[in-house]
Amino acid sequence: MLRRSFHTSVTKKSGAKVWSDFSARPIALSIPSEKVKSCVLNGTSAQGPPSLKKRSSRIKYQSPEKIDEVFKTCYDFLESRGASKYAKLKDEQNIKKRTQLAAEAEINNPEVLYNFQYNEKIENDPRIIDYNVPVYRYLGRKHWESYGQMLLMQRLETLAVIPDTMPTLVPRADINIKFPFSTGLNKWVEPGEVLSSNATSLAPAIKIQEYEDVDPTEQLYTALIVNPDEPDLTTDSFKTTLQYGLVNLKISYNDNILDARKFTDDNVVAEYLPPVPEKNAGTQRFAVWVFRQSGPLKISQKRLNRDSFDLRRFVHDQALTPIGAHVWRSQWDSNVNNVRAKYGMPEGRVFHRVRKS
Amino acid sequence: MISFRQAALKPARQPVLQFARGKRTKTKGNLTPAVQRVVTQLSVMSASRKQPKMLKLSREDFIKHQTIQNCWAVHQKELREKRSEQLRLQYKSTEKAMELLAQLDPTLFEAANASEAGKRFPLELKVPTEYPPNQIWYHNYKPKSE
Amino acid sequence: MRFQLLASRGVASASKPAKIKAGLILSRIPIVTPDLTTLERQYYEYQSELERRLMWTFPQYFYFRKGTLAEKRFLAAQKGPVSKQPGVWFPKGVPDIKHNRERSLKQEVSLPQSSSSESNEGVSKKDDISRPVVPNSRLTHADESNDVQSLERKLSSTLYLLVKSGAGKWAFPSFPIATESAPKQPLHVTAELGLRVLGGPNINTWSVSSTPAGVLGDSQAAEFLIKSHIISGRFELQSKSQYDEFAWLTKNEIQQRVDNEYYQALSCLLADD
Repeated sequence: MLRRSFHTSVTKKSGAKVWSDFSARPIALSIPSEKVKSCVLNGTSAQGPPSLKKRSSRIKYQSPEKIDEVFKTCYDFLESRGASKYAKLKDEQNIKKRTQLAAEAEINNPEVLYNFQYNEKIENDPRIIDYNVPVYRYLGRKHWESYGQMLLMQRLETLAVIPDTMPTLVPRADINIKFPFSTGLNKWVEPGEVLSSNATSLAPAIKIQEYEDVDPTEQLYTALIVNPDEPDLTTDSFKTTLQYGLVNLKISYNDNILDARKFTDDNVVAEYLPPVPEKNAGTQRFAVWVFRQSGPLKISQKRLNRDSFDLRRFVHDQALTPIGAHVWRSQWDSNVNNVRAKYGMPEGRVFHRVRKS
Repeated sequence: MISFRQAALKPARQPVLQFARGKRTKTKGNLTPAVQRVVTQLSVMSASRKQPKMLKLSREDFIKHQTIQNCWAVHQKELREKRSEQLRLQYKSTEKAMELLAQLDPTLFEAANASEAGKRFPLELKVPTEYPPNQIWYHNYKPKSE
Repeated sequence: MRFQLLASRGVASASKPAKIKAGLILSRIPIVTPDLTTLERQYYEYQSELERRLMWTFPQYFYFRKGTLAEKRFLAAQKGPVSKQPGVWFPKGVPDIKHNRERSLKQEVSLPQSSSSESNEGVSKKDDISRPVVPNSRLTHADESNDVQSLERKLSSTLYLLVKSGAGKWAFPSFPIATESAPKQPLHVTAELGLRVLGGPNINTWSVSSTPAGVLGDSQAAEFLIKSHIISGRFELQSKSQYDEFAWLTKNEIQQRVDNEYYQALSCLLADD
């Protein structure tokens, strides 16, 4: 038979107000709207819940009975458990355990849950979802693992990006790409999507969201976009070309969308070449790979063989650790010639079923 | 056809019209009472026309509900851990006792270690109820004379 | 193996026979469920409210046939929902009524008072199905008078039998193993027989196992503790025993009465409440 250990008197004594004292807490741990915060913590007022926009639906709304009183007890209970985690955190030295304890201390805080569930997670507002705070990194990782990570791995495997470019991937960071608004595709690309040549005519912004404990001031990243489907007539096969190469990138937990404003020419080892698949060459995959560097890299643009690029050797030589990937596909469309003209590329070939001698 | 013939054979009886307020004039199908009873009994178990409206919670209330459920899960986890810890200590205690007994007195050890297959749980032991019975304890027990 | 056993026994008896005692942890299991904490009580209430809100409508047509007197009485006892009216504004939403129930709310089913109970009270109380259920109190007379020798105290917790020795020390009863009798009695038999000698024969117990649950002392003088439950009967301390007093105590009360060392050795064997 389960026996009871919890007494309210105990909680009241140990329950220092760890969740409500914002003198030394990040502001992101609080619900920004005062009205909503008071509705969650102090019970729904007679006007109804403020998250409902229409006044009539606010009046019509009925909360479940007794939810506010039981919530108060539960809040005190969870806050006391949070306080004990914070007490443990004070004596802990191990960084990994510290992060874990800090996340556990806040994981049941209703304000944190509210902020995370009802706000934008990719383009996060650091005043609401601050990935510097361990609990938001924990929640973000759980959210990513619940769908985005599985989707990415499935697309990488079914499109055979693994093992055509790199042997495998242990996903550790969430990678998202987005093309500039002027290309007309104003959304985060789902892995494996087929994009038009117009949409991909400018370099994408790459978002690298780290959920692990890294030192953002020291850690450097490399981002490469490769195309493993370039036809190679001499060997009657395909070769890999490097479409875009960025090295020595520095990101932080919140500010991590890499577009042209975030890096200089020194970071670019290979200028962006837009996908221009030739007619009848089929659908080509464009794999985005993101690596953690073990130190600053020195790579001369001239020595890099972009036309037949050996990604595995490059990764091995530069001692890079793959942490995330992304993929999109392109095929020939009527706009390819315009893109070629814009970038000053030669005329494309047209492949036929029978090779001309 | 048949009905026509029957109608032709029998003298047509004039239906009596009743105009009573609230009286049902149309019956739903022509079910025999036995069939109607079965239909009623089945409809008790069916969800149609008996389900409530879906419960839709506002964002705030949904968060509150989640917090309550989280709290309950934490509470249950604490109880579970406490209980398994106590079980572990009890097992260790028994082990220690048996080791000492084996060392001190092997005959008693064997008797204590004997198989107890077929031992029954006493039926008189009752499961706790929310409120006590009228007679809380049976005091006047007399052992059966053998 | 047999030889080894004999040999070891020979050695033990040759040096000094160890003093072995059989202790008895006699418990009375709870009669009522544990007291709920604030959290548990509120959580159960909240869940029951949710369940009521999501309940299926009561199929009244199944229990009361249409047009019967019973149906009329039942319907009269119900507090009916507010029904939809044309041209009326309902701020809480337009009523959605199916089978005499507002679908967005819980349904409260009230039973009609039977007519007989209204006319002559007290006579046919037992027949009145709508009479209120009055449960027995969870607090008993023994709780009020704090009678520690009663088995009817603290119904929600496990009670343990403790006895006070002549030296004024509280402990679980223990009985030395009879060394004279040729076939030695097992520990649990010694404990049960000792209990009958100590507390009279009118007691019904059930030993959980013949295996001891714990041990106190060392290899010189060891007390092996057997767990047992009292099922019925009463423990009455016999006049010519080595103990002065007995009490049925909960774990907390045991902690207050016994030595700290003794309690620490045993606390894992006792149920918390």
